[in-house]
Amino acid sequence: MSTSKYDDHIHVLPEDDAELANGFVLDYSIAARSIQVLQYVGGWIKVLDVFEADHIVGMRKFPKRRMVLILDFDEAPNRRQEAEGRISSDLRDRVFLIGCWKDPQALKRSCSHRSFESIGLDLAKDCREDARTVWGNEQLQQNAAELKRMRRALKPILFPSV
Amino acid sequence: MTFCNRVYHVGVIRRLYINNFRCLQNFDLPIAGMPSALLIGKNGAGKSTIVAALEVLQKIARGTNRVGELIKPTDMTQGQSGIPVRFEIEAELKTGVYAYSTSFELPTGSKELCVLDESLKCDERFVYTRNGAQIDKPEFRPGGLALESFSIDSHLVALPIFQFDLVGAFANTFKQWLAQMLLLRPIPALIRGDSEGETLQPNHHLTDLGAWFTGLLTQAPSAYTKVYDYLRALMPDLKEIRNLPVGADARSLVFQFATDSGSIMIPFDGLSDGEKCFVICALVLAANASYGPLLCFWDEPDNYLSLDEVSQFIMAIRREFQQSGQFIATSHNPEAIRRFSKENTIALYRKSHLEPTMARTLDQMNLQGDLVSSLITGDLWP
Repeated sequence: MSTSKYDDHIHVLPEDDAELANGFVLDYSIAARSIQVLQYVGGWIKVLDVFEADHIVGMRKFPKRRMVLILDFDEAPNRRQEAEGRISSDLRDRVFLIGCWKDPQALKRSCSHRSFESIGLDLAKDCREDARTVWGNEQLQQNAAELKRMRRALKPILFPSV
Repeated sequence: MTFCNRVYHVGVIRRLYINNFRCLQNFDLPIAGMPSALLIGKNGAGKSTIVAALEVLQKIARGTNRVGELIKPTDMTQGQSGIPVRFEIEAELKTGVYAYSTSFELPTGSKELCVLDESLKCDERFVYTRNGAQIDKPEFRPGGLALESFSIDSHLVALPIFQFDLVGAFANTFKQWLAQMLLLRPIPALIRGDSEGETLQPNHHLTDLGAWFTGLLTQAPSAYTKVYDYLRALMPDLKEIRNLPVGADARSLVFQFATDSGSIMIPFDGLSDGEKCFVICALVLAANASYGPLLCFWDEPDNYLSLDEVSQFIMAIRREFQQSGQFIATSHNPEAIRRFSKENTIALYRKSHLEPTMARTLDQMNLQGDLVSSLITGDLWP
């Protein structure tokens, strides 16, 4: 059994290589079997296409499933609005949109070229400790409101012992 | 003892160098400081030869000192008997940074290799050096540091028989780490849950898994909780793991499963191959936490696993070794490959059976597009 479909769980659908997400999942206190990182799809529109085509049915069938869609904002001010527009209102509470303001490479540059995995680990540590050390990075600031929503909805699933 | 050289977390290889051993010529495995790493490559690229090289070092640490039992002339690359076979390993452990080096040559007319040189250093200070038959060992004496010299048969490796004194007391930690490396190539169908005695040094096919389980719980009874918790998350109907006595010195592993409708006892042999791999994984996690840091080299850990388990399985091991120790895996499985990153995925390749193995991390290669696709098409390789 991977993540249990009948317990609270999270599927992560990344636009790019899953290295950041892999780093996040390496955190020692994460409830490992509550999160599954799916194959990356390449392209922000594809994230939404794949979400619609492959995941909406499953989300409606399994009400304890949440999805985190990771996409690049490519410095497009309306990207979040466009993406949110493609998420059905009945699923809106269980779908979360996050990503880099430009792309992961820009995040890596602004984190002194540390590896994606170590950045992912620090993002998990921030979540665990309600900090914004990396989430406050210029490439991630635009996620602030979504992050607040995620902390409320996902932190108890990911870090139940914290 | 100084700790000024500490760079990485403990239990990781800083350097592994091999020369003139099968397909490994002037070969450096770029895994310095990586808590976990993945080796990828075509069949025949040299992945198994790296394990074979580690096995030579492990055998030495486990007490095999006769060179002829460690390495044969046929192990020399393409019969190049004029070039010594060399193994060098540097590791960062709790008590210091250790560097062990040994090389073997084939004397003219001989059928057995002998030791050309050998040395062990701890934090840059020699524990001993050896040239041919002569060993030099620094010793603390009332007047200061003196050099003790003696001879040993050149067909014997010195490390297993060395009696370490104050100068080299910490070196036992290194020998133990080397001896306890987990070099795993399990074949579940051959693994039995019956055991006689106990061990913390299981064999590579894990046919002595039962003895390893006993040894682990003898060493650290609290390891049971770690083993159980991991397996319970995978098999929610697991109730208990018992290692029942079945004779004077024999035991047998049995798993009790229970639901509302009843319970059943299943011997280890009755588990599926995939479930046996879950048990192995649980023991690896508990072993590293209990008597590690360990080096775990697992050849294709994703074999026998269902597709939905591969990711969780790999990440569970990576997470454990993120704290201490080192996990090295080989894989051809796309889902396992995706659980590693460019900086800790090492591509091994060689152009032909006449060429040596080359190794590079993916971030040193100009990879365009999807890794798995480029492995399928073969475009990754030069």
